[in-house]
Amino acid sequence: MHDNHSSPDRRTVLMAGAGGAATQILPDFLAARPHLGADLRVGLVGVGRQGRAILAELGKFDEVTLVAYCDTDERRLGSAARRAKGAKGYATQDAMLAAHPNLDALLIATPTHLHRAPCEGGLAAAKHIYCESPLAHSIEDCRAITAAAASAGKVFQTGYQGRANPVYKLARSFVRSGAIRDVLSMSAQSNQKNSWRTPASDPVRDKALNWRLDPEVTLGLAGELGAQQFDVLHWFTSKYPVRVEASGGILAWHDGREVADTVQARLTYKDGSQLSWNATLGNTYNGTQEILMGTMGTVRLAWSHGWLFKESDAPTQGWEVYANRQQFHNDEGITLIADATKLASQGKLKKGVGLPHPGLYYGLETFFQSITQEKDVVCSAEEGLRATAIAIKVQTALTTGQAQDISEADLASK
Amino acid sequence: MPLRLACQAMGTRFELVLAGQSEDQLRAVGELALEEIQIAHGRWNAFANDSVLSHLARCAGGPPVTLDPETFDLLQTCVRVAKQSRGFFNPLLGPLLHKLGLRDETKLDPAEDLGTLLDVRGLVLDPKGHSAQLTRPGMQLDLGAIAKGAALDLAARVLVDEGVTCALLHGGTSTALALDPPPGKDAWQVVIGPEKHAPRAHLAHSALSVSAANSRRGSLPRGDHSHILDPHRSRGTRHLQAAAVVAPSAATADAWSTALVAGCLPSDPPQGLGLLTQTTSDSWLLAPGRPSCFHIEPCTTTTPPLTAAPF
Repeated sequence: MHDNHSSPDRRTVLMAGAGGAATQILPDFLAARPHLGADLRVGLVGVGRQGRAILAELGKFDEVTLVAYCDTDERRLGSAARRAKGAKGYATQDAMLAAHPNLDALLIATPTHLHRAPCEGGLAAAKHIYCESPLAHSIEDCRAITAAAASAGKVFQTGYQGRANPVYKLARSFVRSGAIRDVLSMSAQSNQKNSWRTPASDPVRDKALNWRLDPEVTLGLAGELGAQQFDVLHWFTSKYPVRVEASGGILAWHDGREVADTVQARLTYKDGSQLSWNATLGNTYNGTQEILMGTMGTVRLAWSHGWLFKESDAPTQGWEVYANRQQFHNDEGITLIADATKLASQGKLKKGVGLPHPGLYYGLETFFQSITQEKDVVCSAEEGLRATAIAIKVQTALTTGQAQDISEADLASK
Repeated sequence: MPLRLACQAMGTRFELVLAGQSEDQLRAVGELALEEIQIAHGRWNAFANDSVLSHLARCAGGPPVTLDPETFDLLQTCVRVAKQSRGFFNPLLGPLLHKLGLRDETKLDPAEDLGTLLDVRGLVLDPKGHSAQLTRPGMQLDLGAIAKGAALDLAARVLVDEGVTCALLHGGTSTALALDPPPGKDAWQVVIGPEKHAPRAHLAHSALSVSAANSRRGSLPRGDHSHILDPHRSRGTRHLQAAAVVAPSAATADAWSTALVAGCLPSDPPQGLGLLTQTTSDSWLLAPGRPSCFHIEPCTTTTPPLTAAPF
């Protein structure tokens, strides 16, 4: 695991706003155009919802050319043809690779249970791989993908986006340098109002498109929503739960489904601390967020935004005076702004509130940089396996009604 | 029974009224359409750092930016209507909104000529590369209501692609888009205003947009008459009270209703649109010589929200 215990110089984070030398260089994360240093030719595997989101972000990378894409669904191929000007569409990955052997990388955005084959096939063809999260729907597939990635010698990144997110990286540096001191408890939620049902005119297409509602293959809310959050909190704390309990049911959508639409889980750690996780498809209140409560403060994360709430007895650092603040009922949050020093020196602190790109963009950017600039992979296959394994345990606890113990062997890649 | 679905986007409430299939199927298709509206919101929100519009603003003065097809199509519509309306519809009002204090604290460079930043010729579109370029630093798109209309157009396309043809969609009750009418009806009836005798539009395979000069008094710039800006005078418009336009697409209807209130003449829009303008608080005028599907009735409303009566 890539682990950075170095303490950020918090005094300099914002003190430059009090008269630090002004440079007119925007922070990297605000740069209008990323520079990768080399041209890349990529192929996209799967052009459904997530594939479409990837297509939208690829347009921001001048040095990345989408050469080809593939999907087994004809209608989605047709839709992608409008969005991917200049790229060619194929029904299978094999056909795409045969026609375009010079691709540098593949972006895998197939349904979760269909990640293994394109990952293994892509790695066998010596392509760098970005695989959407969760890594797979079973621990067996996770281990197969991890083994293939380990032997291929190519860049492999799992799409857990928190690790690439500038706000989350800043928040993590605060947490790990003791800004909230001892972490007492964690909570996370992912609330949305959506039936998760995709329209389909025939049973075959219905089964293919509605895989999230197929109990045979789905990891449910734990996999499709929770895994990203489990990974963030593991990354922040370097802790993995040793036991999970989960409950839930079909409370919002009584349409014959068998997959729970509302879930609560309790993940317990070796030191006795816990993560409380809730997710529902029946209510949007407060959306998706993660909260870490410590003895000296609380960090609240909401993907494009983050805040630090200091306890009254927390030591004052001085820089807080210049910080951007936001009121939440009785609590005042300090907005976590990546590269705040640079922005403050230019009088543009508020420009940094809210990331300039969706989280997916940063995941792709770090992947491309790992290829062209040999930067560390932000989320390896092994890390992807661990977060996915936790989600699998949560889903198992939910479907069996039995608490699940988690051993080190459960999280191992072999 | 029709199924109603709704979501919050673009600072307002979008609602779909769907009929004709099983509820489960309608809901699945409707959610896909709402998802399209949310995607449009993410792209075209001038207030959000991570929108395509903000990305374009950051790239202003630099090389062209490759766009998704929907954003490119919308900007083409913007440029077309801007030309036809002689600049009374202008998608580049971002700098003016900043100057009038209607956006964040960003200060304009005093040396920069506002007229240059608002010049639509500075928005260069390349159909071959599907790219857009803002030629001067400081230029900023603000699509206003047309984004709402375009989102409805995209949502309607999803509905039709998935086989749902009987539907009425609206965004914030000021823009409505109708597909097939309800069973046994010729059209969806849309009432412009809350009063009993308010004007009514009958919509089928067409869109209606209503713009009013005074519908958001609380957010007006100091001393101004309207939140709708007259680009030629760099202030809130003092032209019409309100305008309603029926057009084949909601984006086009939105652009022209805005342009009419901002100051363009009823003769400016191309033939084929239904136009209705309100010159005073109690007087609606049908643009002379223009086809219209409005049923004109006595009207006393001063603010014309739009209510839909589906059946």
